[in-house]
Amino acid sequence: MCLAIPTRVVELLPDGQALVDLGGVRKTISLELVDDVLPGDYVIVHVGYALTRLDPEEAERTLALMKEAGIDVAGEAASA
Amino acid sequence: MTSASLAGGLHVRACWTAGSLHDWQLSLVRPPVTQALLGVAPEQALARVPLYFSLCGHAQREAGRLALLASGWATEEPPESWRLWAECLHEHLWRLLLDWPRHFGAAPQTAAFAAWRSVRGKGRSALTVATARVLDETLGGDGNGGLLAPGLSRLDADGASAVRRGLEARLAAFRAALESLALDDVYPHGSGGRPAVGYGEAWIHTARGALRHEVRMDGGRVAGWRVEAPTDRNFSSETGIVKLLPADLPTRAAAQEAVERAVLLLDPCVPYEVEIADA
Repeated sequence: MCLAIPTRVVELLPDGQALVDLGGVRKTISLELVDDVLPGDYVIVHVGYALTRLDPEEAERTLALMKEAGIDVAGEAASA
Repeated sequence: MTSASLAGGLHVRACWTAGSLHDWQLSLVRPPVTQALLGVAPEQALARVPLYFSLCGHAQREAGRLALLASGWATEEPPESWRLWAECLHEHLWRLLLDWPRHFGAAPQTAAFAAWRSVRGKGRSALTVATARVLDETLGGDGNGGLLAPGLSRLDADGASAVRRGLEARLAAFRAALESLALDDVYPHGSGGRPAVGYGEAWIHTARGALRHEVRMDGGRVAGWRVEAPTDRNFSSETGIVKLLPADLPTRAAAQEAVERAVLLLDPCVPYEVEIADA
């Protein structure tokens, strides 16, 4: 029941890695399980892997819903 | 509440002294996502549920739909069963191809898993073929021993027979899910409720066990929504972990490894940490 937080890809890194940002928290994740991710895309991250690529509108809508629910998305990003 | 606790996750801590573990502390923290469902119409709530969960989104939504249906608030049509089987297989394969090999010191089979994932959108038949191929070529379905065979032998050598049995059961569950996908079986579920008072509950199968949703409706709006995931039950205390430990834990390092194995077998659906300290 891990929270699905849309996370923005900031930069592609070597070896299938990427730098992502959520609420100012930046971390490196693996893109090995998803294809065709570009900087600016949003992905769902679980235990260090990007699981799904989202369209930006869906991502923004989900982030807004989470904020409405009082969920600290920056805190979530630190652990995803 | 701190950011760390809001983040959700599992922390397992125990102290090791002279071959045994004591002073267990399990901390399981959940993001408060169901708060966002209160006060909204049932169809809105149902649309939100899969957005909140990175794993088992289809199962979460279906459990919610069944609970709403049982409460007297009929909603949309059920999903095709094969999509739920696909999600179940995804969770099995994450553990069997990535996490268990890594635990045994082997390379995670990320490319094989990514290739399997890429077939999920191509329909039940294509996914059945792709899953059978993973079973035969990687997980030993054709009798070649498979990716996990060295690890299973190591579990025997370490006296971790309970974990070995559990991992074999996980492999068997994966095979059973593949068979159900091939046969397009109905996805296991159940529900009950009291529509007169707007109450409904439902459970649905997942790779980790039964996922339960409970809803209360009031005036056409969601007044209460509770989710109980297998992780909630498996980590409500240390009992499940202790049952999986070998009788002999001669060093703190051995205890650390044994607890990590037990936690991996119980399969929390959130990030986790295991900390075994010297008393």
